[in-house]
Formats: sequence, structure tokens, C-alpha cells
Amino acid sequence: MSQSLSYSAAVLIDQLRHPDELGIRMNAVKNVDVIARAIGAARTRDELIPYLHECIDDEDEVLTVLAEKLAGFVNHVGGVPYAHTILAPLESLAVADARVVRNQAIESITSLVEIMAGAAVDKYVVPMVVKLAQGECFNFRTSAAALVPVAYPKASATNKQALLAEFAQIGTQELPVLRRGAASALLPLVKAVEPAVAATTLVEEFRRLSEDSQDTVRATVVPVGVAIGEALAEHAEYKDAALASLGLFRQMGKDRAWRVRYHVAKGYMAYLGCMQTLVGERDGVADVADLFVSLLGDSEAEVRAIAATQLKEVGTSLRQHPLHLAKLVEAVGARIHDPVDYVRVAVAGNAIGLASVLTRAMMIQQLKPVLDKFLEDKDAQVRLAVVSRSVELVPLDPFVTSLVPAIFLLADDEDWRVRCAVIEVFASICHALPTSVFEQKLVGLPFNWLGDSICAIRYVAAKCVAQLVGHFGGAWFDRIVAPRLQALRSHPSYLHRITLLRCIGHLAEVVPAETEAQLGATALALCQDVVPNVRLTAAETLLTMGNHMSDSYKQSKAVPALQRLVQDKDADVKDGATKALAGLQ
Amino acid sequence: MLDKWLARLSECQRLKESEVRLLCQKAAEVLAGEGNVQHMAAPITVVGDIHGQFYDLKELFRVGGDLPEANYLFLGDFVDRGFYSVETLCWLLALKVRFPQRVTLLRGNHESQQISQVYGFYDECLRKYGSVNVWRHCTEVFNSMPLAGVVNNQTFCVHGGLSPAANTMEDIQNIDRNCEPPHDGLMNDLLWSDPKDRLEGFMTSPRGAGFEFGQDVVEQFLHANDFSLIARAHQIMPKGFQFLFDSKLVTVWSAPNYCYRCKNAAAILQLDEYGTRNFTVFEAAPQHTRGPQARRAVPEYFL
Repeated sequence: MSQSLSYSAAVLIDQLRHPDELGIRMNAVKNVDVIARAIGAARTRDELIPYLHECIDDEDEVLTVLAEKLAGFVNHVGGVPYAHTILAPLESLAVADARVVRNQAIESITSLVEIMAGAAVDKYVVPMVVKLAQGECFNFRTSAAALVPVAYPKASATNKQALLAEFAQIGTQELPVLRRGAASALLPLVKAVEPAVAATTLVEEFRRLSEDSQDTVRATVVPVGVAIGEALAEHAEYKDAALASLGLFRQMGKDRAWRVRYHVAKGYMAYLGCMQTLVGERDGVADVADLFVSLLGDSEAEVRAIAATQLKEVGTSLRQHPLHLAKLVEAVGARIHDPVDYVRVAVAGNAIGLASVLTRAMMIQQLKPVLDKFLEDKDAQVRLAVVSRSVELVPLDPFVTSLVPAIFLLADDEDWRVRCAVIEVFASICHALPTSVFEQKLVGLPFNWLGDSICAIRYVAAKCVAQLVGHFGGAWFDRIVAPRLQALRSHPSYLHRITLLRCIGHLAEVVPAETEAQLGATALALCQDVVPNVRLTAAETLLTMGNHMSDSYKQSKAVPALQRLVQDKDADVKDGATKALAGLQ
Repeated sequence: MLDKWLARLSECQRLKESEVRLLCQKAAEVLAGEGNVQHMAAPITVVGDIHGQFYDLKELFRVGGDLPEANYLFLGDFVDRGFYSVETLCWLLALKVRFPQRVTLLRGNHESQQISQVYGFYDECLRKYGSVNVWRHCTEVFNSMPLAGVVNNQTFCVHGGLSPAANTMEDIQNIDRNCEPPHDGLMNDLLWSDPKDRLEGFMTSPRGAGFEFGQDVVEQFLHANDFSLIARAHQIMPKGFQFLFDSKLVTVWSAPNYCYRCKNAAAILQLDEYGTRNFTVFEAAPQHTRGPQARRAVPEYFL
């Protein structure tokens, strides 16, 4: 094979079997196209493919890359009519020990089958699948199960029967791993077969696997129930089969294994949508809502938490059905004493999503008492879950009595990240609250945060103050903010004076021009601070303010101040001032 | 270039071997220009052991403020035990080179060839770079680090503690520090000693290096030098810091959940111009702020 080859191709061929270095073999496999191009289609088919087939005794990484590379070999072997010549090495890779190699091989075979002609599939692919399905080891048969949905659409009628028979055979083996293989291949198979087959054979298959003795088999097969329903939804004649399949899905919501129920909860929205299409808007939801309520109250916390994440969508689907909505809200209410913290966090946060679905009256009478309870939860994360989404409850008036104390409590939480999370939503909440409530009760909080012992909090607070000024305007700034900032100017700690400068930097973007000079005066004063860090930050702040200053102010005040700082004895101040000066001019 | 390095290092991205060599050369130059006893002005934040806990150092800066906005004095033990000794040390060295006036790095007992060979830094360099060159460059920087610091002529800062061989700053200034710490003597004691309650004078330390010293020693030392406080690190404190000897000595510990399993808090000590001592206590950075490597199996030297 080495005659009349380009040098690089010849080297690569040698390197494919390099005895010691994995990296070298890896590189050769990655560049196997170079060889194919060098030797042409005929020799690629007759020599390179068999040669690569012999190489399948390598590390998993190399084999995975090889399997991936082979999928793109169609042009190298002479086009689609010769695609089948690539199957032999892929077949060997599809039964490799490592699952990642097998999966890649199956993926590559799938992409080949997609472009192959039906006759070629019958002639080469179907026999391969049947052979694998009769294989000794489990990995032969699980790969066969995965390939059935791939080969099926292009196979002849007789071969289709044969493939289904093999599939059924794998799904009834004693070894659980085989039945699990069938369970996971059943989902793509539903999409591959004709409605008549889905309605009969596959519903039966699903029924059998949904009653399997192994939890993992049942958990794997759960989504098939809805998939069959969806596949048959448009075919009135198979309505009964679709409903039977969905009934089995529903049944699995009461499974003894929580992992199975978990998957039911996860697929619940799809189920609900399918039922509504099949039996109509009115009746479709009748006992369907009950299933969700039972999942939300499941004995396993994981199931309750995953169900909670779908509250808003489920609520939206049920919005025409006040009775069911009421049940839903009631089920949410039952979770206020849930013993598991993360379940209460999930329910509390997602319950807010229901607010936009409920009528105002229902919201106030039924949802509000529940949210009020969550706002009193002993776990800060639960309270935070409600507070951080509370703007979705606008108008907030009815929540003032519960929301304000909750914000106060969180504002003082010992975990600084909780405090930080509250500050981040604080300005938008205040904007949504009645102004009087903000003015009378909450107005002091951002200034407390401005003096927090944690630097990150002070900086978020600085931004928050600027957002509030953005909402409430210049007059509010003059009345409330200015005097408090004035006090910070002579704060004994340099870190707090720096916070003030940060705040000024953010404020510069929102205050009117006449206030700008007032802020500028503070920054200029701090340019003469005794602590170099403050002078440095003051220089940076003047630069930030630059865009919002009038030219005359810039030239008469800011520039001279910076020019003085350029002469500073501290190297960092000098450096910062020089940069600021360059930026301003 | 330095600012680009800092941007990468602050995200826990390693420098290349050639870059580490360059960084170490520069850092050694800067550090060698400082005295054995480095004098600093308040306000400044004093930080205890870090031990390669990169993401907790990041948390420390979130809590205490970034450089150059805040001033820092690190009491040593940057490497060993944590997963990110290389990244942590390089970050601190780069900060030192970039802001020499804003940050001071003192030598700890783990800043030594012998110790860092046993407690993880050596293995980490070998694993991450495939050779020990990086470790060798770093250990050369260790030899340039100052041994003690004095803040506003009031607070004496050192990694370990006092020594029977030193009573004044002059004694410490006279050490030839540019070497691997010897097995005994003044330099060794500064890095290894511990205070001990209800002890008079000095006693040999159960650590096998340095001494244990009592309140009388501390009082005599403070009086002789006209200082009011000794701030040191070297010992884990469940609450991050602890005063001893009528508040004349404080231990500051800045590695929260030490070795990722001790569940202790960490603290930093903020000293201001007026002599006020302000402690800020913090916990380990939460999981979502950490890199994927943090979940790797615990190396053997933890066991």
C-alpha cells in the first residue's frame, strides 16, 4: 500500500499502528482522510477500510475518533452506492467494550443509513442488525436494539417484520440490561414506525416494559407513553390506543420506585398537552390535574421538587378551569410545611408563576396566604425565592405587610450572599411598591448596605442607590441621598470612602446635570484624601464621570485635580491619575 | 503583559512555564528590595494562611475588597494542601509585582523547598506542568520574601511567632534571609513558633521546629519595641481568629474549611490609621463559584 503515496500519507499509515505513543496513533486517525485522498476510492475500499478494521484493538479515545471519522468516509469510498463498504468496521465498533465507542459507532451508522438507498439497507444493514440481535454478549444486542429504529424506515415490509421481531426478542430477555436497551430504543422507534404499528405492537411493548420488574427499565421507558400519544394524536382511528398508552403513563405516576415517578413528573407537561389534544380542552384536564397534585405531594423530595418547576406551565394550561386551579393552589399550600428545604425553595419560587394565571380574586384569597407563609419560612433561601421574584406579583400593594418584614429579615441575614441577592432585586421591588411604603419603611436599607462589612455588598449597594435615584429622580436624590452620602465623605474607614466614590461613579449616569457638579465636588475633595487608595479611586471616578461632565467643569476642575495627582508620591495614584487624565482629554 | 496575566490568574487559569519563570524573576527582584522587617502604613488588611485554596482567596477579595482599592499584608503559607497552590502563588506574586506598595507578602513555613516537597506544592507542579521547573522557580522566590512586618510602628506581624534569639527589630534585620530556612535559629523560629497559654518563657515546640512562648515573652517583646500587638497566623482557628494574652497577640487564619473538610471559618484583620482592629469573618466560597477541579479525589497527603 505504500507505492506512489504522498509522503505524509505514508507516514500516517505507519503511525496508525505506532506501538507506544497513543498521541501519535490518535493524530494518525484524526488525519485518516489524508490517506484516503492519497490512494483514491478503489484502494480506500479494498485496502484502507479493511486495514482500519484490523486496527480496532486500541484505546477507547482512538476508537471513538475512528468511529466518528468513518461517518464522513462516503466520498472517499466512491459515493453513496459504496456507503455500505464502511459498515464492517463500524459494526465491530458498535460492539466495543466502552459505551462511548458503541454510541459513536451507532451514530455514524445512523448517518450512513440516512443517505443509503432502501435496497442497500435491506441488503446490508438489516442482516447486520439481525446478526447483532442474535449476538452472544449484551453489547451486541443493545446495539442491535438501538439500530432497529435506524434501519426500520428504509427496510422492506418483510424486513420490517423481522426487525420488530428481533426488537421484541431483545425486550423480553432475562438480562435486565437488554430490556433497558430496548426501553431506551423504544422512544426513537415510536417515531420510526407507521401509526398502525405504534398503536398495536409498540403499545404492547410499552405495556410490558412499563410493568418490568426492574426500576431502571421502567424509569427509562416512561417518556414513551407520551411519545406514542403524540404520534397517534392526529389519527382518530387509533385514539383508543393513544389513550391506552397515556393511561399507562399515568399509571406509572403511582409506581413504587421514585425514579419512575420522577420521570413522570418531568414529562408531565407533555402529557397534559397531549391529553388536551386528544380528549379536548374540557375533559382532557379532569383527572389529569389530580396526577400533578399527587406528584407535588409525593413521598420523595426529588419528585416534589421537579414537579414544582412546572407549576407555571401547568397553571397556564389549566387557566380555563378554576376548580383545578384551586386544587393546584391548595397543593402548593400543602407544601409550606414540607420538611425538605430545597422543596420549599422550589415550590415557593415557582408558585409565584401562578399569579399571572389566577384571577385577581383567586390570587388574593388563595395564593397570597400561601406566599405569606413562605415569606415567614425559617429558611432564608425560601424567603429569598419569593422576594426575588416578587415583582411578578405587581401590583404589590396587598403584599406589603408580609413582603416588607421579609425584606428586613433578609437584609440582615448572616449569609452575605443572601443579603447580596436581596439588594440586587431591591430597586425593582421598591419601584413596584407604593411610594409611601418605600419612603416610610425601606428607604434606610440601601444606606445600611452601603456600610456593610463585606466589600461585595457595598458595591452592589452603590449600584442599587443609583438605580433608586434613576426611579425616583433628582429631587429625591437631593432630599434623601445627598445628606447620607455627605456623611460617608468623612467616614473613618478608607474602604467606606471608596464605596462612596463607587456610588458617585454609578450616580453620574442617572443624576441631572446640576447635581453632577455636587458629586464632582465630593470626588475632587477625596482626591486629597490622606489614604492613597482613596486618591487612586477618586481619580478613576473622575474618569468615569467624564462623559457626563460639562466641558468647562472638566477643564476647570477635574483636569487640574488630576494633574496634581500625577505628581503624587504614591506610584499607584500617579499611575491611575495619568490614565484618567489621558482618558479625559 | 502583567495586566493580562492578572486577568487570567484571577480566573484560575495557569500561566505557561516560561511565563512563570519571568514572573518569578520579577517578583524576586521586587521582594529582594524589601527589608527582613517590612514597615507599612495603616490602613491595611492582615491575612493569614491561604494554602492553595484559590477560590477561597477569591472569596477573601470579595469580602475585603480588590487590589489596589484595599491594602493587604499576607502572613505567608500561600502553598501546599489546597488544590491550587500554583495558581494562588502566581496570582499573589503578580499582584505584588503590579502593586508593590499595596500588598506585602511575608514568608511562611511552607514557603520552603523541604516543606513544599512533602505537603503538595511539588506534586502539584509536577502534575500540572510535567516537570519540577515551576516548583524550582517558585522556591527561589520564597528565599526573597521578608520575614516580618510592622504596621504603623504598632503591630508586629509574622507567620509563626517569637524567638529566644531576637528581642529587637535589629536582630531580625541582621538575618541573612536569602536561603532555605535552617533547621533551627532565629529565622526558623519566626516561621514556626506558636504562642501557648499559661506558659512562662520559651519551651521546645511539639512541631519539632521553633518554640512555644508564653505571655511574659510577648509582653517583654512588645515593651522592648514599643509595639501594642503581635498579629500572626500558622494555626487554624475555628472562628477565623483568636486573641491571646489579654489581646496582646492575635492569630489570624484565612483558609476557610481548611483542606476542604475542617469546617472552620476564616477571618481577615483590618487595621486602620487610628489603631482600630476590625475582623471580618467569612466562610468557604460556595460550590457554584468553584472550578470543576475542586471535586477531584482528595490527595493522599490529607490522610
